[in-house]
Amino acid sequence: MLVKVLSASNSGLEAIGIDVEVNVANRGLPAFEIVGLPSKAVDESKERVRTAVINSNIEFPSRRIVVNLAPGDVPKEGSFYDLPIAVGILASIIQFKIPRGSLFFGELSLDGTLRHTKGALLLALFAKEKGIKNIFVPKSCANEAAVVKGIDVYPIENLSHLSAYLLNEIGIQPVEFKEVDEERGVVRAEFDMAEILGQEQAKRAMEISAAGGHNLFMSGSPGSGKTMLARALQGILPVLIGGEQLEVTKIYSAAGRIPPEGSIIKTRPFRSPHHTISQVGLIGGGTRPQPGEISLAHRGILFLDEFNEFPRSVLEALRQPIEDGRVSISRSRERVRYPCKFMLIASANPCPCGYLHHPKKPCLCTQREIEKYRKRVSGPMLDRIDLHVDVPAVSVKELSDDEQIKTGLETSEQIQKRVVSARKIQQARFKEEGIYTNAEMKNVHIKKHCKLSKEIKQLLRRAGVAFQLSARSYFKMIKVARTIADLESLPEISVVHMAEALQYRPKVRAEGL
Amino acid sequence: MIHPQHQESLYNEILENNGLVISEFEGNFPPAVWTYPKRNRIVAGLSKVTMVVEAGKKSGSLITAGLAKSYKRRLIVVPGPLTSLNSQGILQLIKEGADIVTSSEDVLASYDIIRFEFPKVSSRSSSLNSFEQAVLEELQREPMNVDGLSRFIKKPVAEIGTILSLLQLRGLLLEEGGKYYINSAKA
Repeated sequence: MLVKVLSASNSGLEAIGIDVEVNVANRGLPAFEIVGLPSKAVDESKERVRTAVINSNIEFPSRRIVVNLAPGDVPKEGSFYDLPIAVGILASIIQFKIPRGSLFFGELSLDGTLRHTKGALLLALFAKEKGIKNIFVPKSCANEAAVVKGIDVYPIENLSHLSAYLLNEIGIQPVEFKEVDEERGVVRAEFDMAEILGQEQAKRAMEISAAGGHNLFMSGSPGSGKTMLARALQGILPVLIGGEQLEVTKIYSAAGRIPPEGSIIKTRPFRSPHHTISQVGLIGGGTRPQPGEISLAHRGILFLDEFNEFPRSVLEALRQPIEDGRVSISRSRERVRYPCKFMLIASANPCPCGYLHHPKKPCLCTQREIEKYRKRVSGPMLDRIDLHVDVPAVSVKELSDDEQIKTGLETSEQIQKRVVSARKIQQARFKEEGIYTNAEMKNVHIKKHCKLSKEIKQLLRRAGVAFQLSARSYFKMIKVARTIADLESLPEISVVHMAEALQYRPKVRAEGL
Repeated sequence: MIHPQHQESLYNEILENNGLVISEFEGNFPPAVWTYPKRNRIVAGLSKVTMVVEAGKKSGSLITAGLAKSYKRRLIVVPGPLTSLNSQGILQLIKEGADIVTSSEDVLASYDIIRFEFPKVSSRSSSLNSFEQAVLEELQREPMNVDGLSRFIKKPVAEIGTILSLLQLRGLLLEEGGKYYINSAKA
């Protein structure tokens, strides 16, 4: 008897339908075969299904079973075919009817229970697109799939549970879809801005960076607070808005990073890979291309500490994704595209020993060593970073004794309020442009939205010569000035905004290195 | 043999401008630990005055200074902070009687060049507002970074930054390693 069960597989963030055809023959020697380019994980499904069925107190048929995964020319990967295969076999021997328009998905444990399986959200989106009404997923994934409206998500605990339902012996309540909560969630950052003493200019740069989505480069001695600042940045960013939440959750679903019972992601991701990361780890890749750190940081922060220690080839690979906001990964068997609109926060020491310009400790590096160290990051790479700021070493004692500093400290929440209102202005401005932030502006947008007075143009011309600004950083300065004006809710950029923006120009270059 | 290699263009520039490159080593003789003091010997001997800017306790600069003294050349030093490792050699030289220089006039004087008065530009006070004036005054007292200035003048860093950019573009300030200095050529 031939049974056809629907399932789906994901390729990047896209899903494709897979027909799982199960034939339990009345003739032939007992066997269990899977065809249709199964990978090792799919092939091992045979043993899992057989044992799970037996352990669910159902007799496994000693007949010739052939499973075909169609279309036959697409390689199949993953462990989620367990459930559709098991359902196909059970339908042949217990004779229940599979409801029309049903999708099955999930990995089986040997005792017949269903395990947490990655990609449930992508599957649910696929079902909705194709008009499939019912999807059956492991119970721990139900919350994730239920994000999609207009489909019934059935949480399945184990095989006997499912077969009882399909035999109409028990009922299973579809999981209620969770309304995408527009309310402001609580962002939990490791540090509050108020915990950081001093570093007023660096904090100001953080605020501008958060408000306009600008990339930021921090240079400073060890222990000056670069890492703390980067971690506190998470706390002043606005929470993800509706569309962004789904974008981020899709990537995490594809990467299998949504925990059991997990659902839509509301906080902005913060990724801080170590500098020994490989190119594939950062950009994404593999024979079945997986999202890299840049995609996992989508709509959030990618923090690269010790920026100069990253292999040059890895950093150079970042250039194009930073500009495009998405990355295409092509391998011989598959081509996928992942979005990667992240804020790059990079930090580095000013020299190999770390104490250049330090008020107390001597720098032991020679000029040549310093030059070599700085050259590890290319000019074009630094040019793609909008804000450059020095994080000077501070004496904690001096600062904590200063009452004026302590009383003037702003909390992350206060700063976040200004950031949120600046972002709202930008959203309204770019409603028809398909972008969210000032940092995403292309030259056309700059022409349209950043009207510069004669005075400002003159200032910029002078700065261009005096500070040796490249054409790209010239435009970056305008974008930063736009954000500073937005933070003050002013419609026009003034000389004051432009002059402040110039504080955050790339300085490494200006020193002639 | 040119060492360090990356300065080859500098060597060529010297020669193109009718300059002179001196070495007592011929052909492809590679640099070694012992060749540096030998070279310093020539540097000290050729110079009328030797000025030491930074010197550790055991450094090439100290060797050169010692040679200059033994050739009866004038030795001048730029004093550094007592706590810095890079000033230890300087402090040693001062104890031994080296002359201290603190300005360009001092340096010229050690060459027996008569004091030279820089023409003072007095345009400053007229075109500056009180805020800008305050920033310049603080920096005259001590070079500082943005955070420090904001603390002394009690204004937000955003405003300080704006002023600094404008003053720097007018050539009144110089920036190095995050700290701002008065541009004395203009002041």
